[in-house]
Amino acid sequence: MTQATVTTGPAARAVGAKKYYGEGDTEVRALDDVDVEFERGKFTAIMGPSGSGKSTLMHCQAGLDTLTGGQVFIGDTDLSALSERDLTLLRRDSVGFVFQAFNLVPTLSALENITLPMDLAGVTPDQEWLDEVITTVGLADRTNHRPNELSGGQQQRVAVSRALASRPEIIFADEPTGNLDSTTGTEILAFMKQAVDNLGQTIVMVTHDPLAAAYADRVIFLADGKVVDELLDPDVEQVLDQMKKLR
Amino acid sequence: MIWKLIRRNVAGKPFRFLLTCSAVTAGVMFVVGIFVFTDGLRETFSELAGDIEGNVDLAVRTEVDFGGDFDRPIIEVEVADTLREVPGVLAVQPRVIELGNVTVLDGDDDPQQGSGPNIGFNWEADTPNPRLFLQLGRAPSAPNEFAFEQKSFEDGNFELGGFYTIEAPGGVYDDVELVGTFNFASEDGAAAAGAKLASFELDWALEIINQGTGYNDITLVLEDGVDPLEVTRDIRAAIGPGLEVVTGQALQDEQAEQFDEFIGVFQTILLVFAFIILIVSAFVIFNVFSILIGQRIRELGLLRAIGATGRQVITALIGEAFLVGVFAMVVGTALGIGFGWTLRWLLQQFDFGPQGNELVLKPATFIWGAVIGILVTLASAIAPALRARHISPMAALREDARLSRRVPALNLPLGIVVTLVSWVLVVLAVSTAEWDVIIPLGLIAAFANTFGLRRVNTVVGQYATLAFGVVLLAVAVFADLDVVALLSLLGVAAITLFLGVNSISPALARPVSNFLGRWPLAILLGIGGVITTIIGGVAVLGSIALIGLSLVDVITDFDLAGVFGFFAAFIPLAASLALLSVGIRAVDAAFIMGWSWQKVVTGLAIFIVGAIGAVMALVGLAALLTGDWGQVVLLAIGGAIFAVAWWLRRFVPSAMKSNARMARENAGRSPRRTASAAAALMIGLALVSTATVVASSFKATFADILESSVTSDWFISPTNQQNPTSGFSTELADGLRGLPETDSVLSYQFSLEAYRTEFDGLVRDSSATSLGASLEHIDPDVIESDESLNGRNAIWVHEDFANDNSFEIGSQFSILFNDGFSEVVTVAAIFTDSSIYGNRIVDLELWADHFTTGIDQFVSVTVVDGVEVEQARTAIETVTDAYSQVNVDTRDEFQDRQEGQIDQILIVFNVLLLVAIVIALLGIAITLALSVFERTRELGLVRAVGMTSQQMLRMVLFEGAIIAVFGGVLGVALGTVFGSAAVVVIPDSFIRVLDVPVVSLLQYLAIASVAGIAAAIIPARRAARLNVLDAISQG
Repeated sequence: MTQATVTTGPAARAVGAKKYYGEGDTEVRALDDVDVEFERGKFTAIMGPSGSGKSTLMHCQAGLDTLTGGQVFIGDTDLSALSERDLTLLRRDSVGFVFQAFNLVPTLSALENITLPMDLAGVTPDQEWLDEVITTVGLADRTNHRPNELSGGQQQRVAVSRALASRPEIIFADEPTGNLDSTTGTEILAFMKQAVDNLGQTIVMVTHDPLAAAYADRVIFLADGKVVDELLDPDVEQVLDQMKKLR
Repeated sequence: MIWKLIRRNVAGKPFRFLLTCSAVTAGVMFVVGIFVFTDGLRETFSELAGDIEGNVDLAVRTEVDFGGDFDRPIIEVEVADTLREVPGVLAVQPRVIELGNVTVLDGDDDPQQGSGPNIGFNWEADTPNPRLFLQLGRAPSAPNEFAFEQKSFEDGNFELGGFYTIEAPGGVYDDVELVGTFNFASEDGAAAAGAKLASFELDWALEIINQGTGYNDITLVLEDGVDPLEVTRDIRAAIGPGLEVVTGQALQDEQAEQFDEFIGVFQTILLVFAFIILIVSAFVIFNVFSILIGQRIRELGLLRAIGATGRQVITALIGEAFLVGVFAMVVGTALGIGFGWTLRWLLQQFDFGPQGNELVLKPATFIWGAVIGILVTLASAIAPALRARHISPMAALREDARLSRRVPALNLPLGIVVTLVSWVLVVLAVSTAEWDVIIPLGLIAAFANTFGLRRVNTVVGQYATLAFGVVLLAVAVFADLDVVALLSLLGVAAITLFLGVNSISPALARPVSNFLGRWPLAILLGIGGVITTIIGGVAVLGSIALIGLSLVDVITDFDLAGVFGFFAAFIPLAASLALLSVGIRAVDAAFIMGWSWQKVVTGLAIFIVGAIGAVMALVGLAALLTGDWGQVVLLAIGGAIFAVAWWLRRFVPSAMKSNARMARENAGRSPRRTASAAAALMIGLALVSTATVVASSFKATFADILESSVTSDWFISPTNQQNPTSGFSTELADGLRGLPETDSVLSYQFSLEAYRTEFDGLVRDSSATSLGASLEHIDPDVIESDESLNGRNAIWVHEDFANDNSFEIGSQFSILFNDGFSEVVTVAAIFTDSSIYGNRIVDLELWADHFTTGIDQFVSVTVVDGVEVEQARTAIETVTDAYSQVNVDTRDEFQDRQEGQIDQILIVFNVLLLVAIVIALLGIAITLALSVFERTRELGLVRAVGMTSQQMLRMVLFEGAIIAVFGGVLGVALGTVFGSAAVVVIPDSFIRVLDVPVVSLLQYLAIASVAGIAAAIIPARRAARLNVLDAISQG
């Protein structure tokens, strides 16, 4: 729960990760022997054209999906060795999620959504930290609202707060700005960057939007299930260039 | 085009289609099964009537103008001789029969009692057309000989030539030789129908059954070629007045009519339950269709967007409902035929009804199957389908499109007129006081009232049905009509209230599930679950033992039946394993609050302590009102205990886990769906609760009567009380009178058609006992009396009967018995409590002169002061031991026995309702399955952020329990109201004390909660096994 337990090494990594679908002629290699490390306290973006395996990589890395071969680690934990139940507990305790849409349980208030993982774990949230997160996200006056009473941007901010609230090892964001207009999207990205820089959070984001990727400290490019390139501290132009090469 | 779409829809989602069909199919199956069953029964019985009475040409018997064959006076022996002289008569066969009180004891001294009555009659040696077919030995031809029906002979411990004891109205006869066996009415012995038939030589039968006084009737066979009419004329001339001549066909018709009446009653009762089942199924279908259409709004919107008209959308939906109906009709009818046949087969295994099982399939059976399958489905689907007409093409584009409910446009003049008409209808219906007017007119009025008020004012309209039901209920409770009219009014009120509560229950769903979906339900589940687990566990052990035993049986003595039995033994195992798993799931779901077991135990303990305190305080409070100061101290103690428990409650965790909260919120989030899912269960439980309240009040009334009016110490009653003619020889009471321990012994006889009161010509029911001594035993609250008038011709009458006819002490009137003799009786007492005697009691001495059965139906005894209970029992049993078919009870035992009988009826009633409840649970299961399907993404999300599959399972289970208990609370509340109203309406002579059995009703809630878990298991497992990745990437 506390991020201070492991301070060395990457927050997450994949070693020889393979994910195949189908067999024989129809075999599709979504991940083809991928080795990648996600540094602690950094904002990493994964990019690539459709079908490049970027979502599969994130799903496997987050323990939502299982590999055909190879290993993935969160901290020092080998996910391929975990049972379904342990994977669930790992997601609850060590991983945060922000999805493109449908991030919140409609029947729970904003605050209840934020504390959901801790509540499921039977852990009392750290009130100070919770207040800090909520204030930073600017939701202090909307915590009792239901999701359908919030705008799309507010809903995404609640989702980010939920991911942050339990101080997980790593947060995975799957196209977090995909459903938002550019102003709101920028706001969310800035906030995520701030969480990384100020709070020391590790975030991995899958995106196909170069503008979004430019907020990251590092961009990894995937094509045909393989890591083909990466950029450090990229700007929009660099990302665009790289994407054009991949097409 | 539309049909193609319908076909694709059905074929594309076969599971959903079958789910939709299941409820209607079950309803059709049950109704068709009832028809197949009762038609088959009717067929066998009408053949039987021919077998029983088909062998005679004419019969002579005494003429009665009222009363059945039970009470028909006997015919003098000499008449038989007269008849033999009539020209054209080939054979004369006198008959003596006792339809209930001739019991044979086998070699182990076990009284033989099957599922039918114990009948004794004479061997018919004189007729050329026998209906008794000798199987073994010979016919009885002398006193102290008897022949026994073949199957009964095989069932008991008998051997030909052995000596057995026979109890008959004439007394107990030891050492009667069994000389032969026979089959009755047909060669193959199919007609015994569970009755035990014993036959005797004619003169001896005359002695032991009718004490030598005469025959029950005399049958004749005529010579070939003579004109029956002519012979009849000759017979009429030869015999005296008071006798009648009937044809064999008439006897046969009378017999068939009796059977028919019996089957008709049976069929009606079963059909009432079938009707209840259909209503419940209709609710389930309605709900399922609403949900399905709700889920397909976007698809339907798309259809509209690409140019389908509203009418075409409706056609598509109704067409789908039609397919469901056709499927239900075909499959349900097929299953129903099997069900009816199986039912008949099962009953035969228990010797109920004559043997023989033709499958009678009448057109009506199929018509009902079709009507119910298709019409009920269409009727239930039509409202949701009509709503779909208003789906806008925009729905295809919106995420959160919902079906809107159509609110009728206000139309004040129309509304007022229709409402007024509805009230006029009610007044008209009530004023006729005829049940067959009240029921249809009342229902039409209820609908008209709702229709009208909805057009007057929207808010008022919402509560119109409920309010109308309350008004009807109040009318039924306070109006002064005859009982049948009031009960039918109550029925109409009940249906209206169901609809009324159903229309407002969506508004209740949220607050009620909010309240329930916390620790009260968790505790209910904990208690119910632990009990279910224990019962299930014991049942599992028992069924394993059963399997072991049958395995040993197969190994030691291999035969096909043993193998069959071995495999059949797995059925109870499967059932008890299911019960066990439901119990464990219920306990598991009780942990949804994130409790550890210590906390659950603490919570339970505190809850129970609090409940005890609350009950004590309430009892004390009630005592305060009745001024019973001894009990008032309970108020303080109970209050203190309750306060302590309330304070301790703070140590029970109040914070809820998210999954508990989500379960609760889910139940409240589409209140209309929750309400209609719960409605079916509400109806089932309301009926169960009504029956329970009535039965409990009946028991309380009985206890009250024993307490306040009965002073006897011992009660002697026949074991078979279902048979109204059951009783025992009057010699039993005579024997008791001879004991030094008894102070006074009173015999009672009753008849529903005892005599005609000649001043108004009505046939009256009446009791008879020795009036002079009766007050020592039973006091029917005599308000006026003149003891000097007691004697042979005295009568005691109820206050109402006296007032209606302006009788007072000393009034005289004449009564006509069915033997044709009149007696003048004098009113010797007027009483107010009709619960024991009914409205009239005459003296037994008078009675015995006109009823020659010699059977007492009941005897009560007071003992001499100072005689201990066991001492008295020993003494009484020295007399009663000779009679196998009597119960000897102290007051407490007698009360227990009567209450036990009421409980048995209640159990039968509840078992019949079980089918409706199972269908209701099926409805909850379908609703939950569809709602899990609809929430796939949401469930995937919570799984992704860390809900374990165990927590998911508990969440859906808990939701099922909330829905079920919501239905349960409404049902139990309505049932309590209906039951209480029924108790008020039912005359005081039957039920005069209202008793609401709180514990039983709470038990129903606990059962409902566990049943909700059972219904939720399959949807919950589907939810728990959801693939997280598929779920979140869906849509």
